[in-house]
Amino acid sequence: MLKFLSKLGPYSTLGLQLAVVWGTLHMYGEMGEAWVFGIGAALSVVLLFISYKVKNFLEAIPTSKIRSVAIGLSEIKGKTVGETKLISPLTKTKCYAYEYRIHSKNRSYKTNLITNAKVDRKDGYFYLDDGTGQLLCDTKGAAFGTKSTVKRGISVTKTETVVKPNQELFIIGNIKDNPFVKDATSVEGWKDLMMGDGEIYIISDKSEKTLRFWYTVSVITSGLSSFGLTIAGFLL
Amino acid sequence: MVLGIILGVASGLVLLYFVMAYNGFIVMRNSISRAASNIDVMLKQRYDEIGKLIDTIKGYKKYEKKTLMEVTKLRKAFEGAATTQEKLAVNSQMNAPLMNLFAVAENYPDLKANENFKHLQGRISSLENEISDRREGYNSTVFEFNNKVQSIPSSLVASLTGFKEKEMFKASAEEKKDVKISF
Repeated sequence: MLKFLSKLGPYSTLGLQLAVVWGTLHMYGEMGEAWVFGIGAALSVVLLFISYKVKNFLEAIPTSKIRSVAIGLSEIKGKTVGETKLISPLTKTKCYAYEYRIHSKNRSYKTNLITNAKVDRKDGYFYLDDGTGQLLCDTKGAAFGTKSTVKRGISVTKTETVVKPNQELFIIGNIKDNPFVKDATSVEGWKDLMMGDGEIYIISDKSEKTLRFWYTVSVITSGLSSFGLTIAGFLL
Repeated sequence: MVLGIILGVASGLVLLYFVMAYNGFIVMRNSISRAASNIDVMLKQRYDEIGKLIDTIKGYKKYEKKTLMEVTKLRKAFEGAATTQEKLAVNSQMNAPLMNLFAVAENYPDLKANENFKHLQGRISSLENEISDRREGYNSTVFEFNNKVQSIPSSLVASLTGFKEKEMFKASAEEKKDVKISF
């Protein structure tokens, strides 16, 4: 659960936090029971820990140059290169990976909650080039923090996030052995390595500074929410 | 009553912050240790490659004995170095004689054409760049760590739990000097 939540990315974590507050207030309005604030506060504390953990990793891990990248949790930045094998469903963009979500409003439910009807995700490989080398990246398990295209209809909202060529990306993830290269056959060590899934895996088109900022906002929001919801739970 | 609840919850949050800040210091300290170990790995690789280079050159009897001996001597000094800082210092001292070795190879067409020599020359130079990158990475993490140790409120957690500032790797006097190549 923690692993899944830590891969959400800063905006989803912040969105989830706001949803927790909204959900708690809504549930209290429906049920009138004070214990729902306890659940809301507990969820806020979990989100606080997760946001703080990711913020810590972003601060503690230096951005490596690809030629000197080492096995384990690492940060890299550069431009995507390589052959694309996928075409995104909504914008028909040639890409390495995409995530396509269709949200539909469930009108039969009186609160008019948005329910997630369908998620279509396709993963693939690309190279990240930072001028010192090109590192193979597997998108499987990553949180995509790249710009999304949103198309809103009357009852359906379609959101598409892609990883495409010539995109400037910042990635924090786990450097591991490249399964496509026989060990120790390359003069350059980085050719034997690959970026992949780990405790945290974020592929973002925002800078590290921007990500840190949003995780800090998420930490503050979660802290204030847990404080506010606990107080409210005691008082009501 | 209300004030009591607010104070109680606030104390809980302060405690929570303390735990998170402490965990943050642990993550940073481990990241610094990892960065130092990663530099050590590269230094060891370079040391091994220099050993192979010496073996390759030894076959060329007339080759610059003095420069070769200097590199061998420094390689022995590397074996005796205990800390990463000491190893880095010896490594940087090795750069000037190595540059001379590579430059002198220009006078030996056989050696210059030797595939093994060419491979080792490329590998030793590329490892030097990688060591320099990793040193930058180490310094960047130490910079973040020291900022946390010094700034409020995390400095309070640092002083209570015994986290102290760490030293960055600085360029040695040898690195600041221009390398003189003698043919």
